[in-house]
Amino acid sequence: MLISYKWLQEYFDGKLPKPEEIKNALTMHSYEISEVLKDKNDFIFDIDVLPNRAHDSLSYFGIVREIGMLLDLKTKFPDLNKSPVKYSSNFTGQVQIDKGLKSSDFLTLKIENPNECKRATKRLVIDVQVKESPDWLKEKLSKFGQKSINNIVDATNFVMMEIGQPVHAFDFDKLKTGPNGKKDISIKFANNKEKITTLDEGHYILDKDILVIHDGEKSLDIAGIKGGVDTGINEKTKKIVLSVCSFNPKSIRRTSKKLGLQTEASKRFEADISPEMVYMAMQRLSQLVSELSGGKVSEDILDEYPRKSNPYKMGASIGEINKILGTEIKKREFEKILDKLGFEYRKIEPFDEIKKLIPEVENKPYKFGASVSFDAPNYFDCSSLTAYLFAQAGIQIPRISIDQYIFGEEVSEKDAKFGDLIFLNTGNGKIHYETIEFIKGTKVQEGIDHCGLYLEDGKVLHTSRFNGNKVDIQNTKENPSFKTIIGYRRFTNNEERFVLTIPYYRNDLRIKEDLAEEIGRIFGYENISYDLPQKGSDAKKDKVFYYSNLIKNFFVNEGFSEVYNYAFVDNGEIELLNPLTNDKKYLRDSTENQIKNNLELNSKYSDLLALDEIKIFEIGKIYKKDREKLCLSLGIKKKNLPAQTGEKETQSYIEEIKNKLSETLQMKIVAKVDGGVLNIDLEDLINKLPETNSYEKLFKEFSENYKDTRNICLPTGRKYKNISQYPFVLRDIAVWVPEEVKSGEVLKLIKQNSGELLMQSKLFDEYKKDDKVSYAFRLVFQSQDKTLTDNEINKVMKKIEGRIIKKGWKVR
Amino acid sequence: MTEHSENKEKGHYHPLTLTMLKIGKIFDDLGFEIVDGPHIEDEYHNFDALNIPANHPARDMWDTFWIKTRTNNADLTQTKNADNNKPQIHPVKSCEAGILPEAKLFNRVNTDKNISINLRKNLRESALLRTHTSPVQIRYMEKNKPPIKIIVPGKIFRYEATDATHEAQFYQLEGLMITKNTTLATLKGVLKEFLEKFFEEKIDIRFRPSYFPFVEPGLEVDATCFRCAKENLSTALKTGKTNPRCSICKGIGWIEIMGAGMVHPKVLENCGINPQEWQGFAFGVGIDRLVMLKYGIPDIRMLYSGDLRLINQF
Repeated sequence: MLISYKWLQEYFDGKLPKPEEIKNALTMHSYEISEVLKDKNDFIFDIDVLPNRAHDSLSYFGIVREIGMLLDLKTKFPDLNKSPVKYSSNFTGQVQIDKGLKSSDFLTLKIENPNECKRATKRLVIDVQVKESPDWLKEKLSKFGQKSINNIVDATNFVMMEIGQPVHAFDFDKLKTGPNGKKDISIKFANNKEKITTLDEGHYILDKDILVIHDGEKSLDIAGIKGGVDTGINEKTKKIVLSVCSFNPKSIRRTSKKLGLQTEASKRFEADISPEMVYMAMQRLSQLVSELSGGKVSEDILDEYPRKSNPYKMGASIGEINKILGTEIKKREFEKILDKLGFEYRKIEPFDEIKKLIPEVENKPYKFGASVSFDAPNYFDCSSLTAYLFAQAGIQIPRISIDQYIFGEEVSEKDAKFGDLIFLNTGNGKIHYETIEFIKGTKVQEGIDHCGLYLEDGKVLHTSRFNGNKVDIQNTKENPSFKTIIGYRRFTNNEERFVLTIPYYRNDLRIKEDLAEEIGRIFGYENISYDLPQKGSDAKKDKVFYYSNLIKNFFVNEGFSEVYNYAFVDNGEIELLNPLTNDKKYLRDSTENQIKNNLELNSKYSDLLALDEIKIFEIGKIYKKDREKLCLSLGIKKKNLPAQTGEKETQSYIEEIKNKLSETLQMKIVAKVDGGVLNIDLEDLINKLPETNSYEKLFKEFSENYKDTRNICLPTGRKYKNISQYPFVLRDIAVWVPEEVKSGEVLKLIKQNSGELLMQSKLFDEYKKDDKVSYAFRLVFQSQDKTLTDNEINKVMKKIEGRIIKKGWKVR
Repeated sequence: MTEHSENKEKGHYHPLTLTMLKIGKIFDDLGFEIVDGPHIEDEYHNFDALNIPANHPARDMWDTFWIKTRTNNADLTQTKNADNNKPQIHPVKSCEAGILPEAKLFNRVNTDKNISINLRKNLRESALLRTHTSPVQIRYMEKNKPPIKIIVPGKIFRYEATDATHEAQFYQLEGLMITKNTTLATLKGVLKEFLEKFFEEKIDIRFRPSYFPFVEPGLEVDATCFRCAKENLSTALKTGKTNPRCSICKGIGWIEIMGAGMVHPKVLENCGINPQEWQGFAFGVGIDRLVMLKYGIPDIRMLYSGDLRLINQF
């Protein structure tokens, strides 16, 4: 998301710190910033808001809130529930409300599926003049890459970016007028096979799982995703209907995937933005539209809000948070962090809190399946009552009786005290025998259908439709419905807790682990210490890891190099639904072709590699219809041998290697050799091998093998040397030296005088005559940045030869 | 010249193997078990059990290769992602069996834990190539009781166009530790030990807030640049005297190295582990990236080219 530094400044009284400082604060405590771009006299932050914060942060309001909190800056949010606010030097913030103009005289609004649409608002604006937007608005849109269309559409885009709530405007006159003379707007599922053309000229076929905004005749809009072209705004539009709604995030995402249509709006709805934002956005949109178009806004807003949620309460003790973070945050610091976060909170002792609540909930009517978020504290069932009481005391427990039973800590009847829960099988309700949400499927043989809050002396606070039909206090000893007590459970030791009221815009804060993150990021993750657990190699050993790597040791020791090939190939038993390219449509069911290609490729470079034969192996998965298998493949290709002899020789060599491996593993290996390539079903082989209880042998052999390799190949360190794209050139040189001179001495002289073009050198012949010896070397020259000419190499060779002669040796 | 008997020269480990062996040794010394799981996964283990439900925006964080089955063939839709205009693929309809063996809905009773794990319930039976090594966490926790300490080095797949730093297949290292009192401080300690042993330099670690649905809190882990700031790390960082031309950290002094966090209680629950009793960390790091960082290999694709001009340098 692109956020302008200059625009941000408008929401702060004081001057903002430098962009770099803001970037650092956000990076370390909130979001990842991909980059900060300079844009004339402005800076643009490219902020990577991850899905857990998308619901509160995909907007200027969200980012301003975060920056203000992190850097202790005073923000000036427009109070949208009160008077209009001026927020741009070119913008007066005046809204022309037409006293007497009532949306309800012209429009009706109905949500047919309250599960899909959490809230809907509509408002009529008349006498609008649709025209070009002023420059300040165009500039703002350009900051987040939005093209200017007209003043009304631009206003909707502006509000979405500022508040994070997608909004829309319809052309009033294009809506169908109903029999009552009004436009009847409903939010409902579309008809099967209904067609709609969106504002961007996309054609879509809808079905009965897709939510739309409807006027009784046609769908106006794919709800929460894209407006329809039929009711779009153009320069002839005179009256408009402002539309701000809130939808079920899952349904928006499902539709967006189904239609292959993701928009800035759907992205925000998918993130589950709060329905509380709807009203604010409607106010903001009204102001802007009125100001920009000269329109007169109706005095009322049609507002359908079927289920308004209670503010979410949750809590934690300092101990619980420290136990997750591994910190020792003290009470004062903890409170300071909560103050900074700006959440409303109280310090309580859970039992005090619950005691205080008892008179408030007593006598409240029973409602089966009552919701803690929506029905409490007016209606309860047995477990919503206990869940509610604990939530108010800052303890999140599961919602369902049987889940609460498994969640709590067991206590005996004689130890039961105030604040414990009692669980029953009354035989009246639906008896549950396994958990439903918490560790789903956990068995409780005795069965549970009821619970209550244990008070003291056998007294219990509960509610039951079979027993009183309201919240009341009863005595377990006197009342026969308490005869089958399954057990008692404890949820707190009454340690002091902080109970937070989570603001509507932060629905990612639901469990104590969420709060731990919130505390941790403000406390500063850098303040967490290092705590290394006790060492000790007592872990179980994995056979596949052990033997497959032991086999790697074996092959490296035998002079084989290891290759890794792709899983994606052009033919195989298992096909991909969405391959990257057509020649990578399948998963390999054999490595044979790949090994052959590897041999082919590398034999071209055998001089450069100073190898007379290419010997490679791979241990990797192949994918068959019935299962994926670990496969060992090896291949050999000899240089400069007539095909037939070569094949025969490699064949017998592979047999030899196979037998040697058999010997090493003490296990017979059955596998066919074919054209210089051998395939072994490694999984099968490893299955037959004994378990191991130590990796010692594996790691010892590895370090022996690898140390050697490193010394030979990389004398100067571990850094990789670039592979040149240019051809290499071969030169042989033979030198006569006195017999006491070793080949290494000659090679050293050659290397010292051949410059950086010499890539590889190898002694390939040695011949003794009288008191002299002849060494023949093959030299490989290659440049990193050009094709070498004969001339260049001749120069180098001349230099080498000169030094050899100077030394008193002779070039053959 | 005669051959084999005289050819005593040793061959070469692939740098990925080198790296995985080194990692294996470091974690074996710390008491972690080394395990792996299948590459072809079901949606439940790769997503749902990891607290990434269907129809949740977090699913977009993993671009997925789907396996063709008999019934899902025609039900594929493409969505343009609004952020990057990258097409995303989703099999829409559930499919029961196809080219792959039938994924049966079954209810395995785990008597140790007194729970039945509904392994495939709510599972849209689409087969996919695992997009991370995290499903192995789930598979291991379904079978084993805590305390748990495992690492999972293994191959993973992402539906992603390839370039010098992106591959559609690569290797990931997963770590999981569940005990009664494993914390973020334990995570920091273990990662420091791992990275210092691996890069053979003194290294500091910092956490930044991030998000992965299977952990909470979720973190991005940065390590101090082992090349640039190795002399005197803290001083170099404080005074800003890191090398602005450093090919590894670009002078920032920190390298982004992995994602991590405390295992989400939902994930533990999904495996029949009581989060009231047990807690721990998980991390995931790209092994290819470690290889490239450590040895200065510029292009990830070279690792899969079978080219001995690269491999024989190691």
